Amino acid sequence: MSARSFRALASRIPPFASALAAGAALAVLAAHQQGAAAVESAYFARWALAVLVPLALAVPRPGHEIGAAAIASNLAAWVLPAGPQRGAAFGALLVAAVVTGTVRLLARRDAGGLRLPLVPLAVAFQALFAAPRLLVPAPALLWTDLLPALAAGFALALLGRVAGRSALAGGALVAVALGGFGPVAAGLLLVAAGVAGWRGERPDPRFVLGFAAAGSAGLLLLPRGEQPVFAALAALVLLAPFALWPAGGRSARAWWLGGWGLALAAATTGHGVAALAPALLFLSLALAPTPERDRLATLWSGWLLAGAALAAGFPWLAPQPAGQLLAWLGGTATSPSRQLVAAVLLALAAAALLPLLARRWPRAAAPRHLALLPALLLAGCGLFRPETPLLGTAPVVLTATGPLWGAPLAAPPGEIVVELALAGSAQLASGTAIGRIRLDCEDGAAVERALRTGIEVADWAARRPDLAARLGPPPATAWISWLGPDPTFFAQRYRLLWSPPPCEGGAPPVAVRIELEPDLPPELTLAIHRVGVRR
Amino acid sequence: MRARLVRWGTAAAASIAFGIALDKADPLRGTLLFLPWIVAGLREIDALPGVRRVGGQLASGLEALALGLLVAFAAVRSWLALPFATAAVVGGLTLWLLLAALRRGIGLRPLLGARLPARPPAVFFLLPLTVYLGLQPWVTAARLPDGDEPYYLLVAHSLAYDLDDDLANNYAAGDSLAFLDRRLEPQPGDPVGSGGELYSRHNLLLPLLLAPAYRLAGAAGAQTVMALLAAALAWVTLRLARHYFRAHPGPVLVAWLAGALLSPLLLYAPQVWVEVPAALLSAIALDHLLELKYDRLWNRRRWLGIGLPLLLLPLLKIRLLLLAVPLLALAWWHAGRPRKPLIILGIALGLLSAAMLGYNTFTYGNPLKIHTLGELRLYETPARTYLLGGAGLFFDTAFGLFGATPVWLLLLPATALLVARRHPLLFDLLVFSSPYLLIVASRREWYGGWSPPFRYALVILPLLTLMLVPLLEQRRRLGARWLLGGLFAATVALLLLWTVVPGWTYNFADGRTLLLDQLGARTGSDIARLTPSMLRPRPATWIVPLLLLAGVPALWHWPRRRSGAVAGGAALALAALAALPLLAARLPTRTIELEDAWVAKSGGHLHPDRWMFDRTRYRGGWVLREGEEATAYPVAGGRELTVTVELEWVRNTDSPLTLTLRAGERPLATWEPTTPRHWERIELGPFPWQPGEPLVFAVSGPAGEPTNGLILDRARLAWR
Repeated sequence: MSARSFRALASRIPPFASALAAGAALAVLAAHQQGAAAVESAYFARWALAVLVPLALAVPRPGHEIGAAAIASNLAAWVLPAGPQRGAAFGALLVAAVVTGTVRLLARRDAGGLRLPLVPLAVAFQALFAAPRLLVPAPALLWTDLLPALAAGFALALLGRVAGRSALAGGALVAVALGGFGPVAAGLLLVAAGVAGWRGERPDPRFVLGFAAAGSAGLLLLPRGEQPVFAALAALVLLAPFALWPAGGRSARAWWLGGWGLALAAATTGHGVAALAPALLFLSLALAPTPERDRLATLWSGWLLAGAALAAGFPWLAPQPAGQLLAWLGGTATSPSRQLVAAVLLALAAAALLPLLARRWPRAAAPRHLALLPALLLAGCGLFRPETPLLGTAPVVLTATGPLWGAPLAAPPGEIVVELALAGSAQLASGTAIGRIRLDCEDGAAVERALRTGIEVADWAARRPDLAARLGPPPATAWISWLGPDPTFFAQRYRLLWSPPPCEGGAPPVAVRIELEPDLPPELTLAIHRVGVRR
Repeated sequence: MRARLVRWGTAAAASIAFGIALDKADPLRGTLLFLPWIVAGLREIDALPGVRRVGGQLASGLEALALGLLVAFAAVRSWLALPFATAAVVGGLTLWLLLAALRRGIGLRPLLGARLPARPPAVFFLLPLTVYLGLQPWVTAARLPDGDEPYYLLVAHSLAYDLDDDLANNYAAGDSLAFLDRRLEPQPGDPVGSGGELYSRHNLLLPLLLAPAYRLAGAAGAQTVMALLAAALAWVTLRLARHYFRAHPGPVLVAWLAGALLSPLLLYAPQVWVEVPAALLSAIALDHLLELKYDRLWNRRRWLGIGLPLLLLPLLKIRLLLLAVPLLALAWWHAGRPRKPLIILGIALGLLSAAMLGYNTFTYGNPLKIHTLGELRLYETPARTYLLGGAGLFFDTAFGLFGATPVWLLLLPATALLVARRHPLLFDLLVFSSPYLLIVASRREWYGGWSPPFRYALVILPLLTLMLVPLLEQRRRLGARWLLGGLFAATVALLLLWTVVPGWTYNFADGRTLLLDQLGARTGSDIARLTPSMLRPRPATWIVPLLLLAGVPALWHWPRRRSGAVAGGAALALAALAALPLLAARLPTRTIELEDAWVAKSGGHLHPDRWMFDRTRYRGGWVLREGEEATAYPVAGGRELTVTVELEWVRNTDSPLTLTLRAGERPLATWEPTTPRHWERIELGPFPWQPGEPLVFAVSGPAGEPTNGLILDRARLAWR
């Protein structure tokens, strides 16, 4: 081995050691805890190793982010009490470490050094998306996560060599759309990379268009999905970097129109964000790279990939992370709001104008200024629409003997937020009305929202293997998970956002109540974990 | 100019937006209102000519992104509705501010040139001030003034509003409610005037300094003055460095960053204690007297720079006379042993001291206020007390420097290096600090009483900071870098905890810390016994310091030439963390302190009361009354156990009382006391023992209202 290779290998030891030490320290913590805390700490140990070890192989020297993530994640795990708050902090720190490492990797000017690290980097990202499957690791993880991530990483490395940064951004957006670097994403990327590798140059747009059209046509042949079209329009935010008006003549504009046509057609299939993957891949490979598009694509894909990874990880465990992320950003529990759709369409229009603005105001219209925009928008929405809790820290449990909870309202609510979980509801059919949220008006009238199993709320043990097999996946209102003493499944709470209509006659609402239906099985209970109002 | 206007205008707009949007009861309101100004301040530092941008655009971009995300998280925390979300935001902002300040601090290296300037640029005052002010809103709100602080503030209030130091009306009116959630009562030993006036036992100098700012902005104004003094101390420390290490600006800068931006100074900056102004006065005097080495010239500036601090120190606190006298001696020594300045300053100091002693005698009836001359009889204090107190200032887990800020462990190899080189800094440090630290070490309250760690020894922090400089010149070795990385990582992790939960820096003098109790509760093991405590000596009290004295210098100097990455230090720190519960679960339990949190009790209470004044005078224990029991899970060290219990019988009635020792439900022994109000040591056993069994101390008596009890201090376990 040459001295240079030895030094390169030796430089990996410190971050590698930090990653291993992180997992070891968490394992020690787990061994000295009891019950749910021990289960959760052991899970964190597996998760940390799965993320930080490949990340240690990917990041450029010296790898301080690995050490920082190892220390910070252990700080959260050792100091915070067990529960979703510990999981949220832990997951956020792992995502931050991966994003920081990715940014440092991409900032390297040496394009040759960029290729191989993409392989472990893809594995690190996939470990974030595979968080639910790490609770009970099975050999199937090899086929569902590890090998596809390795393959996707190789494919990205090859695509990056021939097609530049825009291809990498496209690959990242494909991962966002498909919920990680799983088998489907790896397959798409491998085919694209295979074509590029065979030709040794940027693939012919005609070939890619044909491949993407075939992929989209396949979607059209499938039975129509459940996602409403207007909600799917919100998913077009993934294509924002490709909204930039293309430069380069008639053929470039033709490919651009073709790609957008594919995207819009895919959106009508009702299969949500995942259906956009072929169109994303096409646009990233077919359009000639420009500095503005590359920078915007890098920033946009970074935001969305980090957000999706956060949504997919513990304690959120969103099954369709990108779709769920859009719903949350839109302020709803299940699907994007009309306001978000409008905001997305505005953002796309603004992106299309960016090249023209950049010519006139090159510094102001710099893509890097867009990097902070999502954070600032989120901050603005959060600051000016805070949530006021109506319930204390201890949950209230409604039972057959005590089926009612209520609280007065100081002002008409813009939105009511409730976090609930049923227990003992496994025998009820999906769609059974088990209760209601009721807003009492000053004149005695009321407005109500029904609570139905499998739609607004479900059992806390819905992810237990036997229940999941019988009832299917949790409803889209699934919000936060935690780990109980049983190490085989995540417990689940559900969050419902309700914008109540005004009271008839204009009377102000004076109280909110949650009540169980009568004649329910006696063992059924409804735990109310949180009730809040937003202006 | 336009960029500056944009910067500060944006800060003002953002601050106004936060002010409008945030609820008045929001715990983050103060922090977020201040944050835009802090960011603008840091951007001003970036814009200074000659400052280097460490990390380039990438680091700046990541920094901006991290800040944006933290602000977004702060905004949506009510939506997330997760417990500890506010604490997480505070931790994130603290880390952000610390790293941003360190990055800028390193970038200031070009401003120091090839040789340290006589007058460091003002940015070396502004940078630490920015950090202190950035943390102040949260830290001062999360933990209200405590210890002596509220009394200083009450005196400042009286001076500001009543223009006198009579506190009788202030106590009666509840003026302390302006900065506390309770009405203050007079402290023990507070003097009473002939006309019923109530005075404070604290000197007036510090409250006088704080009174104008207190009048303007209340307690926040006073705390801001303290932050200014702390920042001034940081600046003077850098100025002081030129006397010892003028040609080594790089390592000086690194040492200075540790001293200025890490604890203990960071902890004390927003708090009202005399130690920070005392350290500042001492550093100013040292700086001026060391100039005498070069020219032996006693001009007006030197007279003021040396004489004024010497006279102000005892006015700040009478015990600081023990710093003023050595400073005078050092001035005489470095000036070439002249007689005139020594005589003049000595007479001035003597007259001042006599005046103070006379005033105290007249006002308090005691020249030393609440202290006695007996406390000055150092020859009557056993050597063990000096050893425990002196070592405790550094090694004690709850009150020592190393336990609160592990990076200061570098002082161990640094001291060895200075001794080997016979560096003049050691001479100055010894002369300056020995009399004062000897008195401190001999006191029962060497640990500072109710305060953050390292309180009394804070005055020597500037010289301790400079001690690191020669060591940091060797910081490129593999072992050195791993040690630096590990200690820095542990220090930052602890600093985040101290900032988010400032109350965890106030430990009870019971041989434990609040943090260790939390870790013990998480892992179900008695971790605290593995850490040194000079208040409750145990094997770790001697083993751990010896291990550190040997291990830290050894690791620093290994290996000789190869360089390494700081990132590996995180592995070291985590290995140390993981070792704690592993050892706690395997090392046999030798002592059970019944009052400790890991011992489960069915009833009873602490003895003496937790807030008992000068609690260390008493044997701490737990009172078990009839029908109550305490259970511990000792780690077995053998198959046979002998238990020696130290206890006292509290007899209020003639009813008999029985102590029963059990292994779970299996009775082992019983014992009945015969002599009340008398500490006894009883030996029970040997008993056969199974690993994992709980050891139960049960007290029983006749049925009815429990009135008798046993105070159980500790149980010593002997295994075979």
